Amino acid sequence: MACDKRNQIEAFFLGEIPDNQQDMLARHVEKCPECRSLIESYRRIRGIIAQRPRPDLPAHLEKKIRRRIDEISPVKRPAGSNAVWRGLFPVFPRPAFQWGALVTTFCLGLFLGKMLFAPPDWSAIYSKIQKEDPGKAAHMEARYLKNYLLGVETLLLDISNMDPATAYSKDDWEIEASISSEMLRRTRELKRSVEKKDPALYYLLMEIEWILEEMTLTQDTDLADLASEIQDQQILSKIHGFLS
Amino acid sequence: MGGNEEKWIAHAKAGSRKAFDRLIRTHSARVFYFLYDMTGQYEDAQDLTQDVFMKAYQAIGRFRGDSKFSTWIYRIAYNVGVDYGRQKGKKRQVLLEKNEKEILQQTRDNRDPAEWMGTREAIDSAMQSLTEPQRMAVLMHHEQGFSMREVGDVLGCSESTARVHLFRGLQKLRKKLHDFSPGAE
Repeated sequence: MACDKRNQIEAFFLGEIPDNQQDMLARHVEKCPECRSLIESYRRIRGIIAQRPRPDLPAHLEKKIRRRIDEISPVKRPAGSNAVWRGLFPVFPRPAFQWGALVTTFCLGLFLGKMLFAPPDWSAIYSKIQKEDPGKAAHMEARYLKNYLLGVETLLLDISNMDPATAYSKDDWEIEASISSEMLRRTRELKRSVEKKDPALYYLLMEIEWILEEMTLTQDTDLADLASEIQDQQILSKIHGFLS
Repeated sequence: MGGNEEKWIAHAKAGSRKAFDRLIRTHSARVFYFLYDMTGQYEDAQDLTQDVFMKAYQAIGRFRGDSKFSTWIYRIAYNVGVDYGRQKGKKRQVLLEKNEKEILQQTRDNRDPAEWMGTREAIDSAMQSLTEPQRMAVLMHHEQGFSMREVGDVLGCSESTARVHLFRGLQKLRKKLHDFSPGAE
C-alpha cells in the first residue's frame, strides 16, 4: 500500500480521528481506491467477527459459580481491609454501620480510660480541704513541703556524688533529667505559692530551680560546675535547716 | 460502570454475597465467552469462569476502582487463561471435536449446522494464525467494545502495544479471510 493515509484509516477504525478531520479523510477515501479497499476489508473483518457463531452459554453457569464460591467462602473471606471489618463487626454488613460501631467503641474506650486512669484533680481537693478544715490544709502543706525537700535533697546528693570523670550512659542521663524535670515543675509551683509568704524559702527554691534547670540540659551539663555550685550555695545545708 | 454497579461493588467489598452475585450475573457470560475464545475448550472455559469469579471474590477487597470492574475481571480471566495454556501446554485448537458437535446441537443458532461448522472452521483457522495477544486484542476491541487503553490493561501492556497487537491481528485476518464469505451474509 503506497498511500500515506493508511495510518489515518487505521486510526479511524480505532475511533481516534477527531470529528473535524473525518470529513477530510472521507473526501480522500472517495478519490483513493487503495484506501477504499482497505476500509472495505476492515469492515468485512469486523462483520465476520461480529457474526462469528457461538455456542450457547453453559446451563446454570451462574449457579455453578455461586456454588463454587460457597465452597470457599466459609473459610476464606474477601481479602483486603474489609475482611478485618467483617471480623471485628460481623453483625454490621454495611460499611457505614461498621464505621459507626468503630467510632462508638473508640469514644467509649476514651471515656472509660479517662474515668479510670486520669489523675485526680489535687488542687480542687486541696481547695475543698482548705475551705472545710484550714488546720488540716496547713498540715498537708507542711507535709508536702517536707516530702518535696527530701526529694530535692536526694537528687542533689546524687548529682554531687556523680563522678565527672565517669562517662554516664544516655539512659543514666535520661533518668536524672526526667526526675529533675518533674522536680523543676514542683519547684516552680511551690515558688509561686510561697513568694509573698516566706521569702527565705522563696530564695532557696530559686537556687534549687537553677540547679534543676541545668540538670535538664542532660549531657551538656558540666557535672563539676554543678557540684561546686551546690556546695558554694550551701543548698543542702539550707534544705536541712528547713527540714529541721 | 453504572451507578448500580458501583453500589454492588462497594457492598461486595464490604462482604455482601448478594451484591457479588449481581456482579456474577452481569459479567459471567462475557467472561465465559472470553475464556472460550482464549482456550477454544467449551467445558474448560466453564471451569475457568468459575475460577475467575472465585479469585475475584477473594480479591474484591483489593479492587480500588482505578479501572472499570469489567477490565479488572477480564484481567483476572486473561491471567487464568494464560495459566491454563501453560499448564495444559497446548495451543488453541480448531474445534471440530466430538463434544463441539454435541454443543452445536444444543445451540439456538438457527443456521444450518454444516454452514455453522464451515464458518467456524474458517474463522478459527484464521484466528489460530494470530498470537494470543493479537487474537484477544481483536476480540476485546471489536466484539466487546473495549477501548485500546482497556485492552492494554487486560493484556498487561501499554495502550500503544495493544494497538500494535490489534492491527497486526487485523492485518493477518484480512489476508487469511480475503476470499472467505460467511454464509449468513
